[in-house]
Amino acid sequence: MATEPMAGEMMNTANGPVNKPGDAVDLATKAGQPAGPMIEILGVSKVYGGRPAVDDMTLVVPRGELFAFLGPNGAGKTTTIKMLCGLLRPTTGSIRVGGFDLVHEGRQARATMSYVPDLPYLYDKLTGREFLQFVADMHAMEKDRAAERIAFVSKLFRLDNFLDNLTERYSHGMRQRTVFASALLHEPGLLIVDEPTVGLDPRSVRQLKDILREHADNGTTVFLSSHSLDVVEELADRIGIINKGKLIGVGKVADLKTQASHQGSLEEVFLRLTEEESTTETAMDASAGAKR
Amino acid sequence: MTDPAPIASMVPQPPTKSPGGPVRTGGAHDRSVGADIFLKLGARIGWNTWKSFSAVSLVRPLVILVCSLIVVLFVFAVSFGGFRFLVDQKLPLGGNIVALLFDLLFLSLAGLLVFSTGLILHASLFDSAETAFLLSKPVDEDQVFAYKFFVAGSFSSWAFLLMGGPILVAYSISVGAGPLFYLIMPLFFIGFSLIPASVGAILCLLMVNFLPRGRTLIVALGVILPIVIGGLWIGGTLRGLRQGDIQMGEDLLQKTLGQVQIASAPVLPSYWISRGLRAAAFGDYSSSGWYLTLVWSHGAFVYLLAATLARLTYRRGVDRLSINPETAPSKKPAWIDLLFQWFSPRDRGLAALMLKDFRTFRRDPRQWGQVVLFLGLLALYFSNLKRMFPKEIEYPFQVGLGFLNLLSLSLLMCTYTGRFVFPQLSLEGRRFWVLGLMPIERRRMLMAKYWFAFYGSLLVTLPLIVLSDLSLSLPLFGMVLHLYLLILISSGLSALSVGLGTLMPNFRETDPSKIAVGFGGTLNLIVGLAFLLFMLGLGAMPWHMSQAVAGIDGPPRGVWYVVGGGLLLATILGALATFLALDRGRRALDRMEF
Repeated sequence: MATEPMAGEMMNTANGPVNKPGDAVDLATKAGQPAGPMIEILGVSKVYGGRPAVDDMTLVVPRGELFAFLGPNGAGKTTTIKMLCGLLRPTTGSIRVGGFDLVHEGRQARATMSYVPDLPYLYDKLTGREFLQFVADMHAMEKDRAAERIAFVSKLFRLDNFLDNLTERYSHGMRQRTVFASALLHEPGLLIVDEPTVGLDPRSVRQLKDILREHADNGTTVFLSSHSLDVVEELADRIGIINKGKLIGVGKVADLKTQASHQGSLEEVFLRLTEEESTTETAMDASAGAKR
Repeated sequence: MTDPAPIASMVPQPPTKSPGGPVRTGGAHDRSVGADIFLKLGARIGWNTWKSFSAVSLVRPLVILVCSLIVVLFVFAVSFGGFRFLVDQKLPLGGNIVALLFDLLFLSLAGLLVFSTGLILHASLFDSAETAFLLSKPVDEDQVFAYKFFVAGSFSSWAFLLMGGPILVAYSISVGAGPLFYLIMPLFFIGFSLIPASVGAILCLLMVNFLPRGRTLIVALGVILPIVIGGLWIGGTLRGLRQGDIQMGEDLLQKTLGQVQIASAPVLPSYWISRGLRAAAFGDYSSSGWYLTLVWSHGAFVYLLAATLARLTYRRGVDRLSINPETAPSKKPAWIDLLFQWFSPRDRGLAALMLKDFRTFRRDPRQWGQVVLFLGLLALYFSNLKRMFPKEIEYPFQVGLGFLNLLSLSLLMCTYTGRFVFPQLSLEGRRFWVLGLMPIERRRMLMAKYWFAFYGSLLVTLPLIVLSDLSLSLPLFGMVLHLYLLILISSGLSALSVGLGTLMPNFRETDPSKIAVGFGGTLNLIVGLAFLLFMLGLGAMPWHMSQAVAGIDGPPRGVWYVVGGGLLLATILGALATFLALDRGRRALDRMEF
């Protein structure tokens, strides 16, 4: 069982460094927030049919940080996110969100967060407004507060023109904006987003990026999974790279460049780190095979 | 997204946080939200669905209403006739035979409710985007379960109401029940439905959580077990009724009662509802109230068990199902695919399209599970047909039963082509670019779906009709006639479902069952039923009628002209339905933009 690390504390595990001293403290201080971490993933593994999709991951994300999660297809990003949302349970290890253990205090943990999946769900036979009201009810928001927040997020995401239509008539972009509005409705402490920019027009992408950044600056933790490296590079306070279920690098872009011994773009750094990992693994396999 | 106000100023204040401790947000998440939000959700979705129906046309809700009324009136008429027959036979409606019939009715309805609720819940709890969404929200597992349970229970109890309601109304009229009976009846229905539906939910949760992994195995067990258990019971009962074992009269009655006595066990909820409703019908409200209490207390208790189990195991089950069982990867095609290919047309493109549909079908046990269940029950019924009768069946009855079996198979085919074939093109819509970019004419894609449906229908219906006709010892001509008509009907129904499915696609929906119950699906069902009516009326009725009366006065003069003429008309109708439906479908597909 992994011991609980303090936010910002240097962590060394079998998977390499997972946190950089001072990062989290800086961010928390910047946002004027208490230093307690928002996400604590402690020694977590998830095994599918004998194969680890996530392998002994330890990651601490402080409050108010915009953390980007990168990895090749099938690296374990979605599994990690699903565990963070309580949809899947870790095979070993534990996850705490906002101080709540996801297995034992799941409802409280889920109340502090919002999740926007890559293929978001909307009730086809509800209007956008009715959907937002339903989400407000699920979060037990006071009636007046809910009305105020619905008006606010509708304006923020420019939903007013179609908010009273059934969502079955929405385009992909309209659906995506409605889902983001619902995710921010109850002012979550943690916002988890999976591939948020897919299907959005450039203007909407720009606005979404601004919204994510400013929410993080105001204390909301944003956990962003994306293949859009330019978005990640522009927004993220820290970046985590996962490959074959293992967290192979965590830090600012500069730290990752140092780790990769390469001063190129994030794309080149990402390719180099994930390639190195694969090469090392292949070499170890070959060596083990030779010993056998 | 242009907004005049600077975004930073619009971003709300962050959640209130306690230093170092758990986050506190605006919502009152320390307590669970009330169940009323799911009631409101269901009511809102229902109302919006009704509004979108009626905004387009009132035809659709009217068609559904009229079809339901026809079913209700038919069941009522048959039941009322049955109760009158019992009265004519001097059998008291408050006596043991009627009690036994009610016990059997409620026991079999309970069995169906267990099965259907379990199946629907499995899909809605463990394989639905909606529940994944709900599970990521701060609601408790048992609340999500309760919401989906009542939706599944309402769906599966619909047939219970359509069947049970008119039978009991017919009974109450026959015995002259007071008005209070009609108030008590729905209370019994709801309370009773809770028991089998909860049992179905418990079985579903237990299977997902504790059975060896693999959906195929779970569904296969869920399908095969009821057939085996039902088969053993029915077989045991019918064996006792074989000719020579018993004498007609009192002995037969006693023997029959003895064989099905298990349905009248006082520990069964079917016994409680049966006795309670009969007591209410005869004005014994004290006994009726006792049974009603018994039904509701047990219903509430079993539901509580199910909800508790859901609280403990629902997320565990979701997690468990996310782990696919390890299967040995094989590069070789499965034997069943090879067999399918062997029977497929020689045209390579057509065969490839059909193989794709076949693989999609066979890898979804929820699809073929239903087919196997009902065909299994039909096969069981056909193979035990002779045992149902204490004496050798007279020829007119043999012919009559043969016709009814042909009718039941045709109806089943009509339902299945509507359920599985009609949605096919709609489901293709979102991924049509895969097929659309291939150097294959769209016409051939349509034909592939037609041949797939046609072959599939023949594969299951022809052996069953042969089994039925052999069991009834029908003459060779009768069997050949049935086979010929089934081929025509299969062709027509397959073409109608493919053609209408292309003319009225629904590309927004991904759930085939929802496409099938939509407007296009309902219309397809009605057209299919009308087609069946004409096909059987023209092609089968003349010969069966002539054979039924042949024993009395000999075959009517010139009957073969009528039989031949009817067959010719049926052939023309079958060919026309096939050709026209496919032709219209092809034109629609050629014009279609995706």
